[in-house]
Amino acid sequence: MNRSLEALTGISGLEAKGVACRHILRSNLCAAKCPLNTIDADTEPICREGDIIDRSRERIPVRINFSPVVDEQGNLAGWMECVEDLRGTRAQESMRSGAYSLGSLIGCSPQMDQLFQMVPGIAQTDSSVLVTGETGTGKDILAEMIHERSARSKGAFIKVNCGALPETLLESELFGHRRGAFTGATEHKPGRFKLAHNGTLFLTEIGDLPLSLQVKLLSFLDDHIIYPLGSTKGVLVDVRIIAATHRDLQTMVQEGRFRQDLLFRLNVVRLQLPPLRDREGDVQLLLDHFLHLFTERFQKNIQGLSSESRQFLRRYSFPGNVRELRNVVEFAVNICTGTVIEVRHLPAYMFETSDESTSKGESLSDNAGERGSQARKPEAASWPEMERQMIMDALYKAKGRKNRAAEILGWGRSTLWRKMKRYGIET
Amino acid sequence: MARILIPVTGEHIAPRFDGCTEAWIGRVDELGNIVQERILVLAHPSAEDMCQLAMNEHVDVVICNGIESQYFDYLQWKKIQVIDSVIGTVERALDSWARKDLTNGIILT
Repeated sequence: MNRSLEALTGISGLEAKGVACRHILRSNLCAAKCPLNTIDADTEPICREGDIIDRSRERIPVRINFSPVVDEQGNLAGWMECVEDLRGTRAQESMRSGAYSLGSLIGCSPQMDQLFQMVPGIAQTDSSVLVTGETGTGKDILAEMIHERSARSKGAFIKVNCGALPETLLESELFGHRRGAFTGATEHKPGRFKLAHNGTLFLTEIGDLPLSLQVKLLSFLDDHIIYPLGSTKGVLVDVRIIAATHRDLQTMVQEGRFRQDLLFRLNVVRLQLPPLRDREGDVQLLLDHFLHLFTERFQKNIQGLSSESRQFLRRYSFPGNVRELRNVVEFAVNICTGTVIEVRHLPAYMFETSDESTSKGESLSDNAGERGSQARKPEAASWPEMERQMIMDALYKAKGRKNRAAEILGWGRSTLWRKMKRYGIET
Repeated sequence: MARILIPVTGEHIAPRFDGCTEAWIGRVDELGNIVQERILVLAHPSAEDMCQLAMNEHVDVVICNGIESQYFDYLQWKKIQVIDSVIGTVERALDSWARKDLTNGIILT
């Protein structure tokens, strides 16, 4: 026992000599399932989070790492326990977690709020989690958040994209192989399951997992034993599975492309990430967040978004969800040379597809004053067409006076003249 | 004569008051002789249930190892003497109690 542990438990090393560790540590891990009962000479180190009660009767959150100690013959001689006091970490975490965020996930909508309430509880369990949601909704981030808030956070978080590799490679990548298992297998390879021991394996795009590997995954979920390619001996690994997909697995099951029994096993805890268009109020929040982020990163002096651009973005449906919103803001911050992001700083593709993408087909014609001229822009088929329409509207409002029209548009008089010439507009 | 409750794991005092399901309850005379004893089993480990058990059984003394301050204070408030952070077997703890040298934090190896 070193001095830190003496201070933590309130018991000196001399007193503790010859006493079983459970009586000294007084951890909840000892009572529930002492990891030392299963530890063997060739067992990988085990990491668990729990709490201890010290001599001053205080409950202290801790992370304990159990490692076997072997003698020269390779026999188990004992074990070493490293106890980490988590009080400081927990305090920082509670300060860091804002009311509208969970790690990198941000949102104030009721759907996200519900999710934020659920995640800490789910993280503490060891159940398999299935994360579903459209592309760009933050499935990967959520999986990482679950891992970071779990007792396995000290272990590895290994991500595997099931759709990124061909079937033969994927099997070796996931389960590993023995030397000589196939041509080119010159040495043992541990595989992602082995690497994720004591941690979490995140299988993204699980819907793209070939049927043959679905069976192997199913077998693992049953007994937590993996069989590397070319090996007859199974390896017991302690891994939590988090799977994610943007596909409808129910439909895939009906079509015979996904095993129903695997779906049942993965579907222990299902977290559905809502698309951004359904997250009421989150567009504004995320806009401000990303604007602040990129303004600082690119060292720009951007104060905010104009009401027109903000309104346009609020009504845009964001088929690419949060990822698209982030990219849009990054683009706009890059393009903008002034202090306010205007509609013209937004990517042109948003207007090209605006007919389909502006939610509920609402026109922005309800805007009064100057905004009215720009508000109809999203209805234009292309950027030049929209720009032409903007100029026409401004001229109409200014009753043909170019100075006034340039003011309305926020342009210089020469810019207006040049653009009018380009679009063949005459007054 | 005192009624004593000791949360136990096998023959030993349980490492934690809130983490064990068995409680030794007995009547012990001044000389340390056990007049009556029995083991009660809780449905699940719970500090609240253990406190309730101590109350229901009209216990005078609780001898335990790790206990959180809130339960320690509660039992004291209920006029139950708590001797905590005791490491050792039930038998040695009772002997020590009879000798009146059982104190908080004692290790009876």
